[in-house]
Amino acid sequence: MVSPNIELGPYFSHLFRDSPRRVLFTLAYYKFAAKMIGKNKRVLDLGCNEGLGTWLVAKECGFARGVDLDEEAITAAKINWPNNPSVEFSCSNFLEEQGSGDWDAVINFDVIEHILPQNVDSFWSFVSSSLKHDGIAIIGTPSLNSQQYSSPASKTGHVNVYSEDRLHTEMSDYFNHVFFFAGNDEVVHTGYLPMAQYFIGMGCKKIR
Amino acid sequence: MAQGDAESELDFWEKAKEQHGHQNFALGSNWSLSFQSDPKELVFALSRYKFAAKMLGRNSNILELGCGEGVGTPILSEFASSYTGVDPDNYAISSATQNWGSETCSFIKGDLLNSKFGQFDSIISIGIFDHIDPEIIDSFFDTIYQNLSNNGIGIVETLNQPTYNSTNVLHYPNQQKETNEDRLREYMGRIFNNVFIFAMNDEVMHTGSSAMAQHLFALGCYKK
Repeated sequence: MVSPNIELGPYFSHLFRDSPRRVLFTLAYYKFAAKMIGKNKRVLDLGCNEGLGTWLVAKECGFARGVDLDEEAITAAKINWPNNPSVEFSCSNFLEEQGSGDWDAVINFDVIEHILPQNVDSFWSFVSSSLKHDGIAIIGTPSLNSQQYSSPASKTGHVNVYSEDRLHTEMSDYFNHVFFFAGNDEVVHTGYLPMAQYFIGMGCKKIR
Repeated sequence: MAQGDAESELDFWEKAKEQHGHQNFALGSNWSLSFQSDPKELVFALSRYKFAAKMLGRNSNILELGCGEGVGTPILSEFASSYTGVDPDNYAISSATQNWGSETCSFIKGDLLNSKFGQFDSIISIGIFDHIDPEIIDSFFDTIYQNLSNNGIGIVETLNQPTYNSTNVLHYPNQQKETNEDRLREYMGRIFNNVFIFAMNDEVMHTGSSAMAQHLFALGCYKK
């Protein structure tokens, strides 16, 4: 039996055509998260868009649910992975919800820079309340310093871009341990943060 | 321009040198030997320490188990509030103390098994795990557990050598080969709720296949 082709929705189709390297970078950060989370885990992917990264994490870690407020993106995700026991998708605005407290990991890439600053507290509350006591949060976002070099297209909607200090401080309000990684292109490293294009913060041992 | 008025390259360099001071030091005999025979080893060792230091963040009080001659002390202690290095090797400890002993950096000749040195935010052990007999390794992790504060983190690094040449496997030839990743995960998982594995080949840290990694790190937090 030939399995059906992966259908890209408007977002990933655009990326592949107009900025294909960003597909690589996005998936590379998901791969990093998958390695940190490990096997046989349940992962919540907030802001999953069309779910390509959600699927990578589901495949590596065991199970993932992708959530996004963009209905078109969720429809695209569901077309590729219908009735799959290891991955599911739902359309909702998690900022208005309370977390279920039963996830091993919450991941979130290229989302927090789109959240209005007045909603950031609801964002962190939802992340934290979604996690089990030993759950981990992995948050990736472009660095403030990278924005001066970014194309107008990639900056659209960036209403809340983080410096390393601010991301570290906010995460430290919710987690006892925050480990910080830098991303330049597809490489995740621990080098000099002011020159990083991308930050990945990993929070463990939630405080509240 | 008249040549006599202009400052030469050497003049500029002399000014730069004034900032360097004259606090010279010598590597201890182990690292001197290593640097003579394979200077790359120093790159790799410093890279391991740099990765550990980045995970600790700032203002940590650090215990290093198996500090040797303190080759990692400067990197680990640069942004730390204090650093304590422990090693059973008397010579290594005196070399480390001579080079790096200070108000905030101290060294203790001591046993790495079942010993209490204080309460620390971070405990690092690089290149020790693979030297400890599997039969007594529990007491090495006991040392980490006993010395770590409630909100502390631990980093254990090991050479990623297959363990199938150990005596266990000779006795049980059909036993499934354990990898060092499995062993690290298991031991760290006994004392930490969260364990993260990183790989290193040469000086490069990555999260690729641990089977192909030369060195492995386990980062543990949320003490049990």
